[in-house]
Amino acid sequence: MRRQISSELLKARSGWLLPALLLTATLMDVLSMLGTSGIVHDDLAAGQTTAAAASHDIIRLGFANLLFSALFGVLMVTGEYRTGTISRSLLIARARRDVLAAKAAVSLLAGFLFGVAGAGTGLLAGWIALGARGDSLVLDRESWLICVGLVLVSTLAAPWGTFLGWVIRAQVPAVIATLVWTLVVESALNAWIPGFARFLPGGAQASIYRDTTVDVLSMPWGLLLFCGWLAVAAAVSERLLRRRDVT
Amino acid sequence: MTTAPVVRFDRFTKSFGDTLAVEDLSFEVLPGRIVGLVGPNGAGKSTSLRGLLGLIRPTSGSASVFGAHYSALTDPARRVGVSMDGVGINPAHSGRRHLTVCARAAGLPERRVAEVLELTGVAHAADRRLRGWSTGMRQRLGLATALLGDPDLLVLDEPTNGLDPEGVRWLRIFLRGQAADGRTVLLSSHMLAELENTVDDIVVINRGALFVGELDSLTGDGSRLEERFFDLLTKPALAGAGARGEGRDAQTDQQ
Repeated sequence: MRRQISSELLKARSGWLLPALLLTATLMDVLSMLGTSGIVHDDLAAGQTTAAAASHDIIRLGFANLLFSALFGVLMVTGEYRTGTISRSLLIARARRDVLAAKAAVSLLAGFLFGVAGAGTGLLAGWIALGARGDSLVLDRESWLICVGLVLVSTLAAPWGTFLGWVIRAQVPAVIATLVWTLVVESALNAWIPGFARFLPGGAQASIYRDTTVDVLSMPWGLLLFCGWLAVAAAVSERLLRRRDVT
Repeated sequence: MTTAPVVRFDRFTKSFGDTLAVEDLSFEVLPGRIVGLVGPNGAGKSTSLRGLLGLIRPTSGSASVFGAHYSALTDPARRVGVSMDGVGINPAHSGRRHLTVCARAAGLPERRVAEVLELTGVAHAADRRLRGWSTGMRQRLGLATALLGDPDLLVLDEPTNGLDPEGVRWLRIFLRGQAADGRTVLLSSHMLAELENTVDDIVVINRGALFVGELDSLTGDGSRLEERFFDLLTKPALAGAGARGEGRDAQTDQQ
């Protein structure tokens, strides 16, 4: 297993996928934080929010990194199907599940980077963007809990992406499915049946980064629920990988 | 040296939906032999090899290496080296990076990377991205990857594709050397004239086995492999088989 992880680490370090996604995620975080800082400044001036709530809203925007983290996981697996290198990986490995587990493990490290980048950008861009308008970033317990949640949610989103990749295998459909599910389907379900949607993967993720705009579980329960979703996805992926032909 | 078959297909059948790719294929490959797997396009050569390597599951029957399913091998890269179409490369990697990734996964020392690069004659291009490599150089890299673990069995799918005449000659001599060292080679190819100079045994398939046996027993009357190949395809009644063939359509050849 160690040798498989070493091989997967080398693959992840090779090429531009990880730095390109990290850079794109950070740029999007910065843009959304700059835009939101203007809105919260007006709300603060109108007395419609507090400095603490405004700070939390800005920092929490780093949650967008979970999507890039998931995409990294998806591309990590489907890229091998696209190039045909998956056959080589499976032929060399002692067991197919070693490849699955090694990719998930390595993706956790990449996901952690996305999480740190999201939380770090939230803090730094929040401090700069709010400060530029004469507002101050409030760093209370909730702010730090949100940062922990951002790191956790992006870290766990990467293996989630790898499992989606194993299930769908074709790169373009897998990317589209990830985007549509995250941005459209779960958002719609959240709006229509929030009591149900909070138990879906996206609902569990929202509770981890302490989203206040939707009806969510508590952070620990959300974390537990998302780990449950990961376990289900891992089991489905392992079964499909074991049974399906690699052509 | 043991004479237990290194490769065994036992009534191996594979369908993709309604399409029958391979039917009732049975043959064995003995250690130290170079065996050519030939057949027309769509005859099921690559499907059979993929079945042997556990990449696809047979609809019925079985295929085994060293007496077991491929997935049961504890250290597959040290037992079976594979170079085949569709077992791809990442074009963004260099040749050296590709081999290092494989060596790490196989638990092999990284000095093997330099060794196989030299052995296959692509060391000069090792640090260039693979997207710039010619087909022939990629073939050599595929062979280098197969050789990383110094395996007992080489499974090569169309290894001469894209090779220049010097490369084809080099491959022939190399494979003969491998067999002389007791290693076994199973290769598929369309290049019948080249196969004739390389293999000990031949398996002609067209979904099922048409002939299994020593090359000499097929061409011993002075005919060329190409003639006998087309005879087998156009007149299936002529199909015979030599040593260790157990296919339904492949009986022992009496020539």
